[in-house]
Amino acid sequence: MGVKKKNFLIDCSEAGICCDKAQYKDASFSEKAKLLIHLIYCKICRKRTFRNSKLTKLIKESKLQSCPEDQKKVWKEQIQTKNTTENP
Amino acid sequence: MAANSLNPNNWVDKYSDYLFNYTIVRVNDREIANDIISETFLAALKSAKNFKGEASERTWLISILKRKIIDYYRKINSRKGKAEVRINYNTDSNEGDWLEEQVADSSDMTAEDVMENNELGLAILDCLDSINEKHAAIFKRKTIDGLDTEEICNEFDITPSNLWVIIHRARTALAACLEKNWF
Repeated sequence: MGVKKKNFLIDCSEAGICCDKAQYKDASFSEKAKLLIHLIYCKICRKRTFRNSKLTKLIKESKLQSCPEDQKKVWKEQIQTKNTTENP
Repeated sequence: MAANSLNPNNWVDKYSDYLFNYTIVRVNDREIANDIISETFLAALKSAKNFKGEASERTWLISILKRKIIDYYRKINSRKGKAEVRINYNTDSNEGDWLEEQVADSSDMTAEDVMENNELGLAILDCLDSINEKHAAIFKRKTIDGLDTEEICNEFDITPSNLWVIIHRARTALAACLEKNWF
């Protein structure tokens, strides 16, 4: 696979990175163009891109949130204080 | 010998996002969710001696969290009698407004959709647990917190190329894990 793809503009690993950047809207115009050209002839990357886009959709649908760092600090302090009194 | 042991100093780093996402969809209020998780951690420390090590640390914390959520609803239900019920839609001054208020929002999800999405979120966090800790942290900063590449690079002291390689590995692992566990 690798030898054949080296004749073209970008290889599969670079296409993978471009695809990831595109998921976060961080890909430049040239990166998007290179990716699209690569996708024309690379079936494996087309499949990977489809899978990657599906993952983005799932993450969006899941509405995952992370706790604010301040709150984590409060919990850590609470645990540390309580832990030393409960289990000295 | 017990298969699992407790390490309270790691609870916040390892489980707080999971516990938070588990709680938020059930109580629908960040402040209340934070309070319930705080109570969960304290209750867990109090009963740490009773931990037999048969379940994983996270399963054990979730079982305490479930009790705390039930306690929360019991508490608010006991105040039910004091609830104010608005039934005066058809006063002269606001006639007509009520129709607009009562029209179903087409974008509203059903309770089942919300729970399914929450389960999906928890499955994603589960999968992230199984990949390299640093990769998972960087992935969360980029994908869940939506931080800029530059900001994350400064925080973790890595180059943008490193970041994208890490994100690529994390996404590949996550997609494979979800395909195995979710679909």
